Amino acid sequence: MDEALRQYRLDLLRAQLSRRRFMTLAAFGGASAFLAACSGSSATSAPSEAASSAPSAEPSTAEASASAAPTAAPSYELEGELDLYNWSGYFSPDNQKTFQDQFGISNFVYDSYASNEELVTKLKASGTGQYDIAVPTAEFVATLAADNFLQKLDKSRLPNLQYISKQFKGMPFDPNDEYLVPKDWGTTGIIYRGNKVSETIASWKDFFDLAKTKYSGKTLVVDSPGDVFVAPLRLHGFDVNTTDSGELEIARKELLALRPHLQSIDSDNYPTTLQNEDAVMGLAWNGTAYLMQTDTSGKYKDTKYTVPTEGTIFWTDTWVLLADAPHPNAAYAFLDWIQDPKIQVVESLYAGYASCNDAAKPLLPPDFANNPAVYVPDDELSRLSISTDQSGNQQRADIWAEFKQG
Amino acid sequence: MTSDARAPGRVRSGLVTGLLMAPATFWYLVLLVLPLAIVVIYSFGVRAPDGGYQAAFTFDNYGTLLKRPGPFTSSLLIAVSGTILCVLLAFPLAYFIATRATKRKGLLLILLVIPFWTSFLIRTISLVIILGSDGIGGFLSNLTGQNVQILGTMWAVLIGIVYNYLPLMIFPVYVTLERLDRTLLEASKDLGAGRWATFRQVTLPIVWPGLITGSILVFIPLMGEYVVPAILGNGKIFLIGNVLQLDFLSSRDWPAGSAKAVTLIFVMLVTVSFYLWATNRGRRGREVSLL
Amino acid sequence: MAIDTTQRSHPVALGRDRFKSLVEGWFRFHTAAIYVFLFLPIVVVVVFSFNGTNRYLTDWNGLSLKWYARALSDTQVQRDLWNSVSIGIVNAILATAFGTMAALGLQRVPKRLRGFYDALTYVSIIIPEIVIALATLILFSGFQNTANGFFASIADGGKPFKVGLGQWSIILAHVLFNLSLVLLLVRARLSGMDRTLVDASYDLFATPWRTFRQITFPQLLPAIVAGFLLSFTFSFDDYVISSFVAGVGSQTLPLYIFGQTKQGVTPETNAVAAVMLVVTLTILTIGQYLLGRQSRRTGGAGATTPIAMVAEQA
Repeated sequence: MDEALRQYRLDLLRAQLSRRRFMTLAAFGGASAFLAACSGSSATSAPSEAASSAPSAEPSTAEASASAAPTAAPSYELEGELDLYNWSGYFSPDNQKTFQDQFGISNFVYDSYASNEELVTKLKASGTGQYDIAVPTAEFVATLAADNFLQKLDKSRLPNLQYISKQFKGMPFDPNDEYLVPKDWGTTGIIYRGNKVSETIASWKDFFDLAKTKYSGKTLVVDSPGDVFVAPLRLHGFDVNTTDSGELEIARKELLALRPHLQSIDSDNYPTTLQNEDAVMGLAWNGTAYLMQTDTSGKYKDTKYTVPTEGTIFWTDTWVLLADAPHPNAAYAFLDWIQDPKIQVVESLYAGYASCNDAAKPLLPPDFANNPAVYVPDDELSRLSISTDQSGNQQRADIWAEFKQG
Repeated sequence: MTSDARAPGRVRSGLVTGLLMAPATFWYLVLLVLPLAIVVIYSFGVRAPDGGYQAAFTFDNYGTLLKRPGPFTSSLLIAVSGTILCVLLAFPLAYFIATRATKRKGLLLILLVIPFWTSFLIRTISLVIILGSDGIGGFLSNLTGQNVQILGTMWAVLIGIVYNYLPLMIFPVYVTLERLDRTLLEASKDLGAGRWATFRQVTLPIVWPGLITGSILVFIPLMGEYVVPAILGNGKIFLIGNVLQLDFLSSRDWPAGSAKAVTLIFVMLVTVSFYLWATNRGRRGREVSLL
Repeated sequence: MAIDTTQRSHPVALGRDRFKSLVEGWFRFHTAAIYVFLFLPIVVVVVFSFNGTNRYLTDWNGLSLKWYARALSDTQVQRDLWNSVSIGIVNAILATAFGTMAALGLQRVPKRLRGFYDALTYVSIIIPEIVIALATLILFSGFQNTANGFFASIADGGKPFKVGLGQWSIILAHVLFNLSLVLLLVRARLSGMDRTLVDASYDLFATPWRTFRQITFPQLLPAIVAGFLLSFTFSFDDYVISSFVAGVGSQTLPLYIFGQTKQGVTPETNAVAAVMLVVTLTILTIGQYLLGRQSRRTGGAGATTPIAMVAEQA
């Protein structure tokens, strides 16, 4: 157990130190790949440059087709059906149509679940063999892989993976990138209404202080222990994944002190709460901030989003190939095609979250790509850390139950 | 003794009983007893490292049950007040429908369930709008000048509960009230009984089975309810159902959740049995075979 | 007890009548108020389905039909709606039939065994949904694995027959609760039933089936219809159990709506709900009209709509 923890810590350190460097390199690599593709040739040199400059080197791919042409190796016969198990509203209908037309998938089943836990519980209870692809948040990939719910990916069938930003390669949950294809990423931070909150909220300290005083009864947090624990832990400079009972006890005190001042603990309705100003400040996810800012009514342009100075987590949602997938060829076609930069642009604009695909970023409209509520500014990247699945920690579970109880 | 003892073909009566009971027996054995057995077995296990169940035999899960009685008392409070509220609201309504002309009865009954053919989630979100600052909450706030918050309080939760559970109380009560013969009431009055005595000795015994059924149908699921209170309580109301959800879904500690579930079921079963036995004991006349 | 020979015109008697009309007036008001309360959120749902907003439900932005256009063209919604309706109806039919049979059968069952069934009935209602949902899923998957293993072993070469979760798993799980529901309703009705009619029927040499059809069944009908309506409603509205035991492609409407809330409810969900309302109301009205016409043609005898039958049993 300690060994695994140490390994996680090392990986975190490595990831944090190298992230900035790799973002820059990946940007260059992606840009050159894009340029090479634009010229129409299946150039192998540019993409493999980007690939080889990364420590977690990927085997250089044979083809670097970045166009919308079918990328699945023609020798595989597609099954005509694909069963996707995903969050609701998390896959663009336009893209779905494109996929179905292009690959002749006459039956595209899209079922949904409402939480990672539901996905894991369902798989644990009923086993595999029903769906082809699921969309867990990255930290759950380790759990799923350990229980043999996932298939190792045959990278030779996924050439578009080269466009994945280095930030999302070699994550602790899947150090050799054997199971996951990153989908998009986001952060947990502080969202607030500029027209009601005159202060600039820059840190967790600001958040806690203001919640207990000026905005008491007007503050909310999402109903997610993995996100809410980040605030008190980072406030005191602790690792977000700590299992130290002393540190967790301090977090517990902070949370219980905050509890009476909360308007709601809710993950579903909080955008509405922020809109009608029943709450003016909240611990929530960046996607909401972007969507509110860009709402066509124009009423919520004052919405602001902060990545706190003490640090917070970023999370990645991923595509995985489930074990015993009934339609593996269609699944591979999907997993490769979805990382086509043009397809990624459509996805990003639909879901409102930042893509993990570097070749897609230059294709995005500037107000999306430069929006700090979507893409974290470079100078704040170091604040981000990865959270691991702590659902087995008994102390955290007890603290959370106590916090919910009030 | 049932009257079909005199019916022709007595030897077939056992077969008929068996056939009548067969589907229900199948369902109860396969889809209730078996899953329950699984839950009981799980309650003695331990949490697998990645969540779920790992075979073991321990009483630990039962031991840690009493750590936090808070959710239990909250659930009890909501369940009891919700049930009482439902009884008070359902009775006049059921009585009214039962005493309508035949044509109207059916229409009124159907009208009762139509709202429930929309998703409960949509209805609850509508209630959020109605009770929130865009609706009544905001209206009262403007009126009184203070920040009136209905959502997030017990009142909002009760409103939501009554809204969703009322038909479960109305239908059983209606079904029994409909049997009420008006002439009995008149006869009672003619015999000099006061209003209260008439109600107590004529109406109440007839409607009693319906009230019991309705109360059980409302109270028991209410104990396990958590979605509506979560939404209308702004996530700040923490009930047994929430605890189970945390155990089964969030921390994926199935053995712990199973132990809590088994205890909950057992406690409620004992309570219901005792309650029914007590009410049956005090009744004269024809035994209301359980209901 | 002395027989009260007071005339109706006595002041006390008049007072009673006034009280009676007061009470009835109150009941009438109370009923109307409850119906308003029940339908108010529905009205809100329908009104907001016409909201021309671009994303958020409560953001009023003029009237628009665009969400209806979206809802009606959304194949996922169509599929989920169809699943919900078909599952609900099958479940209601099975639950009503089996629950009524069990209610009748329980009368004939020895007392000891009856207690056992009663306990099971209550447990099926007591058990929290999430618990039975998870346990049932585990049971089904165990069954699935065994069955598929068996099919694989007899397949020899070709593609083996595969059992997967689907609509059937949801129906099986729902019928459990609804069966008990119908059972309780019918028994409540049975307990107040006049047994002398049944005795009289046998005295007149009617067969058990005839007795049932002409005496018992009509008296039970209100409870049976009530049970049917409630069973359909429960199944149609169920989220927890469905989310656990649904199979690929058998997603139901509540699952879809629940998932939508994670993205922020758009008026499309309202539009779906409104369409559902209109469809059911239309079916009911047409059904009433058609069968009402038929009964008028046959001179009022044999009115067959459940509603009319319920009403006639007064």
